[in-house]
Amino acid sequence: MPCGPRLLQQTVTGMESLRGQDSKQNGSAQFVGFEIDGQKYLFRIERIQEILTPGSVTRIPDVPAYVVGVSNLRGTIIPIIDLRLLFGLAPRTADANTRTIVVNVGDRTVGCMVDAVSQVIRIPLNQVQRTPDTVGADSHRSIEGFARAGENLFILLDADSLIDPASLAAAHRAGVPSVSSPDMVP
Amino acid sequence: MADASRPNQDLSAGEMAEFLAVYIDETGEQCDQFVQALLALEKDPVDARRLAEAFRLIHSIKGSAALLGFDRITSLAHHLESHFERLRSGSLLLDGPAIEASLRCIDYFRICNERLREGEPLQPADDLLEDVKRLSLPPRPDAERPPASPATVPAAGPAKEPAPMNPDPKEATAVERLRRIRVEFAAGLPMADLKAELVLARLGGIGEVVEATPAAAEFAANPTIRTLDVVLRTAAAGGPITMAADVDGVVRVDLDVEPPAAAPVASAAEPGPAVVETMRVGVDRLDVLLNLVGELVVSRARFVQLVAEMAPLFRKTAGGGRQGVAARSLRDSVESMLRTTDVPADRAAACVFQLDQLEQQGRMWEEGHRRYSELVESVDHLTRVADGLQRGVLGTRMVPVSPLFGRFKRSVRDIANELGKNVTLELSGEKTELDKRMIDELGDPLVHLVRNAIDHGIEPADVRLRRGKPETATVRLAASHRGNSVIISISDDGGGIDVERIRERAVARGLVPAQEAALLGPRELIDFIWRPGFSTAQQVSSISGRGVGMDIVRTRIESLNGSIDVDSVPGEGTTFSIRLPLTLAIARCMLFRMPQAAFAVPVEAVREIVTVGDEQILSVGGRRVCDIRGEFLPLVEMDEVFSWSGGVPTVERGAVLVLQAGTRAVAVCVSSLLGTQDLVVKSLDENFMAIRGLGGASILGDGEVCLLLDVAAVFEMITRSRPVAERHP
Repeated sequence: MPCGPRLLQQTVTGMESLRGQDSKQNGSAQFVGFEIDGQKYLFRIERIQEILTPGSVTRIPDVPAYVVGVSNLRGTIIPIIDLRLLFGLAPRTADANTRTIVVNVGDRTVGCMVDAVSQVIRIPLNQVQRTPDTVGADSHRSIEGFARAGENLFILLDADSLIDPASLAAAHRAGVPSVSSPDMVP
Repeated sequence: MADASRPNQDLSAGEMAEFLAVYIDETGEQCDQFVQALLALEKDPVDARRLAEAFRLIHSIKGSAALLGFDRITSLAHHLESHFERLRSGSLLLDGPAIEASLRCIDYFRICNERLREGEPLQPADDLLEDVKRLSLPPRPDAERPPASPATVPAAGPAKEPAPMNPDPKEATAVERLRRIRVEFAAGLPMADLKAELVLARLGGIGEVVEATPAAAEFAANPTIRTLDVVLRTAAAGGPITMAADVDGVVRVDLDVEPPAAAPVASAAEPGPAVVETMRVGVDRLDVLLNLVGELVVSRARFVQLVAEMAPLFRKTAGGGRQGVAARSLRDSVESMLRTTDVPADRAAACVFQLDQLEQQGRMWEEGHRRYSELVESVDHLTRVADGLQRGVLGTRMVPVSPLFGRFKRSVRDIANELGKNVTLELSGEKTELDKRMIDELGDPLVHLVRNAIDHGIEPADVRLRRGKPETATVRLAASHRGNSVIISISDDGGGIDVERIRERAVARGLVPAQEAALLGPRELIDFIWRPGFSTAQQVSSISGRGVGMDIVRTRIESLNGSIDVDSVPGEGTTFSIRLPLTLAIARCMLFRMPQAAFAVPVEAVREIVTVGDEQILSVGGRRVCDIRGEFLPLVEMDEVFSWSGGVPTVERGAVLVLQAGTRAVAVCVSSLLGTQDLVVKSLDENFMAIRGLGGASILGDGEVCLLLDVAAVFEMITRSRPVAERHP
């Protein structure tokens, strides 16, 4: 039986219709909220292709630990990135809430594993505060801003710089132990 | 009479037509791209990328034209290329005149294409050629236009007008056309042969004599010549032509006559070989089809597997098949028991009810069995259709290698002439088919290898004679199928690779310290030829690519998922063998499972599957080597080749795969083998990035992603940390 990821109800079409309303209501934007280690984050909804329950992932070698592997998304092979590991947090076993957010970055498609997807929310743009320059240092390049909705404080992430394949490749070249490193030889 | 209108005569008409169609298509596109590059360069004349692109385009136009023997195009392109070489290197700056001349060249190429399509002869482009040549000269204010080539007979008829190249084909044809002239001499004319020569010379003064019947060389043998048929390419009108031909003793001059019926050669004015009409389909469309077919192949495999797994359930001897028989005999015994013994009616009824149920299940099984047989048939049918579709779609991309090989008939002759060597070319397996993309990509590497063979492989004639070899050397180009791959080999009967020279050169270039070099064996030394920049002295000529080294050859072949190997016997010759998959899209693979992931490797790369006992494994300096029937091969695990984050459980050694690339072999431990399957190869860098050692990934029937090993790269990765055994036959 195919063990590929099952689609959640929040499909692209569903989001498309939401986005349709978006243009009519100027001054606000839609986001997908998700959670990692108790912190709430947002991705802009235009970036999101779909949200999946994690399916089978094939491990791949010579990549940073946060690249969990590759998955089959209806015939296309996409990398799966564990945002927990990308953020330097401890790994956590997947549970019923774990989701893979499929994000479009440029012409590439990448899956991001998160602890849970909470909601699709609309936030007035004036509630979104740009990242202060003091925070906008190198490591926080992918933080686009902060937003408050009700009593929740969200961190708005910039998918492009967060999972830029080029920078992943650079990280790959810089940080991954090569074959010839002594600890790899039995 | 070497002439642009008389293309490569080594080719048959059919071959010529085939190449011509390809040539016209290719150069047409290259012209378009070149113009775009030029237009961009007009705005930014130092755009290095555009300059390089323009150079590459003109280089490849030159190459194609040279292979088909279109000397005028070749020579024009050659000079244009030389100019772009200077532009590219920065020694000259692209200026207005150069752009203008380049565009005129492109116009000329396009006109040539038109004329080739119509089967008409090509026009000369001498003025344009001079203009292009002059581009690279330092500007001289007093520079005069070089005089037009002097007429052979001065003052005989009007001198040839310098016909400026005109981009409009219609006008251009009006300027110059082919005239067929018949000259009749008086009967019994003394010295008719000399008069005929005079006529030819005079006609040569107003145009170019394309053909003469009888030919000038035959005049002497034919002193009583009565008629002379001449095909003249000229801009001159009828009057001057008649005047030029009308010498003493000529009784009649006819213009534009029908060609003589017994014309021995297809004359230039006749339509060239018919260009086969083809439809151009974007490669991306074919790729989509091929991808879909690939998916179909995968799901067909899944069906076949499911049917095979269901087979035991529906075997006649299985429970269901015997059930009917059992139920019938049970009913017989129950009924006889009910007749002979006193059984309470309700229990008898329950018994009969259960029997009925049993029999009904039996019938359902029968029905299931029948359906299963139908399913088997349908899957067989699906398999046949899918196979046919796969062959058909792959077939749209498969072309025989004969056009590719055929081109070498001429280039071998040219290269040999250029180098003053006597070489014959032997071809075999020309009908072997290969993916068109690969054929396109193979041209340059093959030219390079053939040139190398003639230039460096084959000894000068005196050396050959001294060594007791025939003076005429042989270069062989052969193609053949081997399993799912095609082997193309280029061999020569020359002196073999001089390993000592490689040793010196490697030391001289600092690639290896002298004392280490002294220890290297012939194989390891020969491997140096693949190093970037190791290519032997290059001469820029109209045939060889500029600066294409063996490393580029290898890179090109490997980008096609192929491999190249060299085998050289001192004094006897060298053979380069290129192994290529039939197609890039679908690969027959051996699947195996590792604790990390499922892997696949092309079956061509699997030499054998063995089981290795502990007693066959030796440890040498921390490396393991295993003894396979007396051959010692390095034994590696997947975590020696790749690094895996998060640790890997120890591998239970299930089997050992012996992988090979060329003459190298290595044994790889695998947990379990999953059999062979056709896989659709998908790239990893489409959504992610390329990973060294992995040729891509593929989706198995159950949706799982498996990783495809790039065997050549894996070998290199292993070699970096340990030597890989050479196979000694």
